[in-house]
Amino acid sequence: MTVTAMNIRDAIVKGELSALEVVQDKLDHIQSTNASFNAFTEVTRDRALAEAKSIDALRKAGEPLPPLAGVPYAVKNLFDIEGVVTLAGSKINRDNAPAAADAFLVERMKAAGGVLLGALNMDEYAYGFTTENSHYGPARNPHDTARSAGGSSGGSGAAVAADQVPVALGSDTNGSIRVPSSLCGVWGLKPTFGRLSRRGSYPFVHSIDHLGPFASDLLSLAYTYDALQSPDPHDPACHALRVQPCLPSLQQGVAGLRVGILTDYFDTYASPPARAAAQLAAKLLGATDEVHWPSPAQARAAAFIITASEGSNLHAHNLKTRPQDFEPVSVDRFLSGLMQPATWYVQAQRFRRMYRDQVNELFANWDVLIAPATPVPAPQIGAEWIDINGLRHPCRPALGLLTQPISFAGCPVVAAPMWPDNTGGLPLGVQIIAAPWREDLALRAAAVLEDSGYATVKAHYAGQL
Amino acid sequence: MSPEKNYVTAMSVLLDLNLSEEQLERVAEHFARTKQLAGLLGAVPMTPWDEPAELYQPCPFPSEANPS
Repeated sequence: MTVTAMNIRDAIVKGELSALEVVQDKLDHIQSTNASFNAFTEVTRDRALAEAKSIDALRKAGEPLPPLAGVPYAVKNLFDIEGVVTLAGSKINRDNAPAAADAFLVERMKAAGGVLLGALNMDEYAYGFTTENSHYGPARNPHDTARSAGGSSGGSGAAVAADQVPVALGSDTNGSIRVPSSLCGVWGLKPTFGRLSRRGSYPFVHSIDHLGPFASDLLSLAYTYDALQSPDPHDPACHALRVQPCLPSLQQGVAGLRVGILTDYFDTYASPPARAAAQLAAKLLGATDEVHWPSPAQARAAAFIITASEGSNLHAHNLKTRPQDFEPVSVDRFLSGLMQPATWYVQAQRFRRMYRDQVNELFANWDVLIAPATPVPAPQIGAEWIDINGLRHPCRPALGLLTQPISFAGCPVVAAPMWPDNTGGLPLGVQIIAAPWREDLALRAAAVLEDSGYATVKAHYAGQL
Repeated sequence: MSPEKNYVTAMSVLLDLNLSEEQLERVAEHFARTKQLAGLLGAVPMTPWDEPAELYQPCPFPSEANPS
């Protein structure tokens, strides 16, 4: 049983706990467990204590408390934190000056009363699905520390699963929120492309990068997501022009919604437990029909090519001058991306426009679609290959096989923590997918799964609270 | 030498990348994998009027309330 962000907030509002007590407990828990999980790369103790004290002062003064008052959280270390160097998982960025201001979403969390505890481990420059980071060590899965926490937001998934924080922020270009959510067994939300501002976060792939929250329960995920929403004219890809809160409809259920389960590609690249998890979720949501997602293999190919070209372009100078300082498991991919012919990139961007129209057409007939989040449960750290239905795939890219086609379309996805049989007790998540700008529908379906008791977070390492 | 290795070797010179023989081999392996993916996209039928996905905008479109 975990203590959720909203439990904490309610206890602070009622005066049963002070924000300072909560933060002290979490800081102690992080100190005693971080060597096991390696989720945090920086603990912002002084800031956390100051933010907690300001929440307690507000309460003492009888002021209304904001929606996440006293909720401890942490952010993937590609978010700017004022006074802290934004590492983005790299050694190279250590040379940079500390951030002069918080990232936009960190500002939003602060305004909502959140208490920032620190920065979290990730794959270097977000190029990976395993958080095997030679510079800072791998993030370890709290359910089995010999296994990967997923990536690239592996520290975010691990920190929530280990109950170090009830809420974390991460980024997702090709699956980097959904993969660690799946492997660590926590809730994650990759919003619509363009929903949340990315200002003040270190970029990976400008045309596909998304930011979003993780949480140990769905209500906290929804509260956090609503708190993060705000139009931002200074992020050229922030397309949202107004806030669309999800909380008012969260408990409306799925009656009347058209729910389907994705088949074909999403069966081919799913192991039996992954298929079982998706089938159980579909059954709980009343889905009867199998649905064919348009061109998933081509979409994954296009996402792969755009990622390699844009991602490597950002680091071209350092790839030329100091390639030895890059992460060994990803530097060759960066170099290959730097050499890609322009025609591959242009073809991928032209395909994306056609693909977007095909996906939007699909959602004329469906409200919510279900698919597994990862082909397999958490692999061992260092694994080079995974087996999917008898075929061997390179582990690091293959963990994103089921997430890449969806994020390339920009659709919102809730990753729900499921616990199918035959995984050795490890979690394996399910994607709840909706049409662009319909996070509300994905979250409504997720609430039904949580209420069923099958989608839940099992924290193995609860703190004192 | 494979075509991918040839290409990667030539590109490393053009881009001023100082790569060892071993690294050229590894990069060529990645490149060959990406080439297969590019082949999937190359097979998608497109017309000259299929434009890329958009991002660039010279400036916001003028609203009716503020046409200038």
